[in-house]
Amino acid sequence: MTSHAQFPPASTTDYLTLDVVTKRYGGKAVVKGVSLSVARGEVLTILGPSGCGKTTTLKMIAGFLEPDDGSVSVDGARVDKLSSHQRGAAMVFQNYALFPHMTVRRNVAFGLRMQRKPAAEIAREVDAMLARVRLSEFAERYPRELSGGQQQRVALARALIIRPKILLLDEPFSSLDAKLRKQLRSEFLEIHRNFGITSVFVTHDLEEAFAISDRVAVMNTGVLEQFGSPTEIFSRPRTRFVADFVGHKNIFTGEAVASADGGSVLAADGLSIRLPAAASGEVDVSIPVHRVRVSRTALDTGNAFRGDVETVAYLGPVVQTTVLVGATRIESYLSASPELETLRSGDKVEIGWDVEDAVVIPGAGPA
Amino acid sequence: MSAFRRHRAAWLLALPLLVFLTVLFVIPVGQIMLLGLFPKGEGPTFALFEEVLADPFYHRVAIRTLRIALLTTLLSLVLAYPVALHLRNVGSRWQSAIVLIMVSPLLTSVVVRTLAWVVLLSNRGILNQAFGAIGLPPMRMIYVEGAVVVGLTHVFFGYMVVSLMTSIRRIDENLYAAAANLGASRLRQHLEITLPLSLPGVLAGSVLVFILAASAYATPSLLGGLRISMLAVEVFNQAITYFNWPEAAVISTGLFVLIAAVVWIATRVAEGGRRKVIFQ
Repeated sequence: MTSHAQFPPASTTDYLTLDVVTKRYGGKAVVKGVSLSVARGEVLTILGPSGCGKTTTLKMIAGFLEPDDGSVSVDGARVDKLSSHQRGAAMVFQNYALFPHMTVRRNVAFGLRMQRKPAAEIAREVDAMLARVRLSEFAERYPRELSGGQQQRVALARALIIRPKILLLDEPFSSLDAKLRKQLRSEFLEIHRNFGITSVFVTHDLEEAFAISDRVAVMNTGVLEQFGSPTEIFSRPRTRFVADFVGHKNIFTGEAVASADGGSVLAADGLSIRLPAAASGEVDVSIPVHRVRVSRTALDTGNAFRGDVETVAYLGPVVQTTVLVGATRIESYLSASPELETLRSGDKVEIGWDVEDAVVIPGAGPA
Repeated sequence: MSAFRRHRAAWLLALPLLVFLTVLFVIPVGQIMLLGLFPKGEGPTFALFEEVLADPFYHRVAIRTLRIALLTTLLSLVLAYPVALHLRNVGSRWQSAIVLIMVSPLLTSVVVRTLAWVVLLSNRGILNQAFGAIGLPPMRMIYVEGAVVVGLTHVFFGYMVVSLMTSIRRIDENLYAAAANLGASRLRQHLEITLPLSLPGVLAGSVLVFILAASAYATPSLLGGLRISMLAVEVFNQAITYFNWPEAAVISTGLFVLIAAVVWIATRVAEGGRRKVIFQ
């Protein structure tokens, strides 16, 4: 056992909480009433396109910005008047912001030196931390002499050595190529498992968010569009924006009318689509691509239409097909099968999905 | 040779300047230096060098030259650092305005600027008149080393600001945020980040100001007079007043060697050891 205190074990109570936090710049709100929470030891990702307010939100959690309204709490205590250091929020910057004139050892020791700990104690703790992030042999190197992955580990070690309550990461992988991103992502997850620290991550990359997070907050134009687990966000998007952003392709907008069987029927784009629940008025409905079936023979699904194959792409284990029903394009993403492999552009097919597979998007409203 | 081939275009582009420097700088300067080795058209002999090196008067002038140049460099550094630091935080419009003000002394003639200091500092000058008006005795403020240092600092301060500013502005803003995040106070941030990372600017500015101050002629001759002579002033005296070109050549060579030695040592010290990484 090293001199390192273990981070507290994960629990289900909320550890970091944002309560209707708002930030304005020159009268213009860039973050509007965002409420979030994350449990101890979990990873929360704030996901959204650039300019959606996600970095501003992170800076308010970090203590670099003060919210104009609302509050930030850590472990039950309000922290929004405290500096980032006082509130125990350690930040990993987009470019890592390692001190270029200091060795790895001095970078990692920085926080402890600021606490004026005795040199011997600092040396001991730094050695232990470097061993934990597998950097011992690089202790005397300078940041420029390290690979991207090693730099990230230095940045994490430098942040973690002051034993912060929360770890904040501002798009740390955004400037890297796809292969390196995946590698760094798994390195981050490994270190996160190792330290079990509550983390907040900002990214615009959907795959990244889903791969590392326990909870995801989707933001757009300063508003929290949806907050939930990755599976919730993908399978039950609450708004049209979220559905688009997480990659839903078959989104129908139209007028719904309740039907006798407890469901309803949506008239959209010249199609009559049966919906699983009672709905009325204008609604958005998404049909997940992996639920849409395509066949040369009649389908027994609740919704089935005749159409023409527009494009077929064989992507190894899956086949991506687009079918035109009248003028409406429907996309399907299915496991490869002998029948699908014979499909050609222009073929007449039946396309359909079960009534239960349609996802009704509730639309704007409290997330 | 392959390196030359690869960079042939660059060499060709640099050629006009190389020719210009060779014809108009290297050859004349070399000739002047040779003048000291052939004092009466014969030689080569180091007799004149030995004579000058043994002369206590020149010892005093050389040491004074070094002292004044060093003090000017230090004073410029101390005055320019806060300005350069402040320039980091102001908007770009203010930045150019302030830089213009800092560099403006360079836009007027050295003689005009220095004469303004004479008017200010002389025995019956504006400052002494002001002292007299409030009942203070007149002070000797001209023809002292301090006057030369102040005058030179005024002239060369702008070079220091610009050198410092370029290296301070290059420092990544996130480094400060990271340091603050790890518990560094404002002062500690500057000590740990600004100071070491601005060293290239400190070195460049100091070398520049030192060279200019050590070889200055107009300001020391106007503000130092005959009492506070510097090596460049002696070069002028020997060459123009006494028409003793060989001795002027020897003093010039001595000044050149002195400056080169100081710059070399300063550069080695500043870039030495662990600080090497900052200069890469």
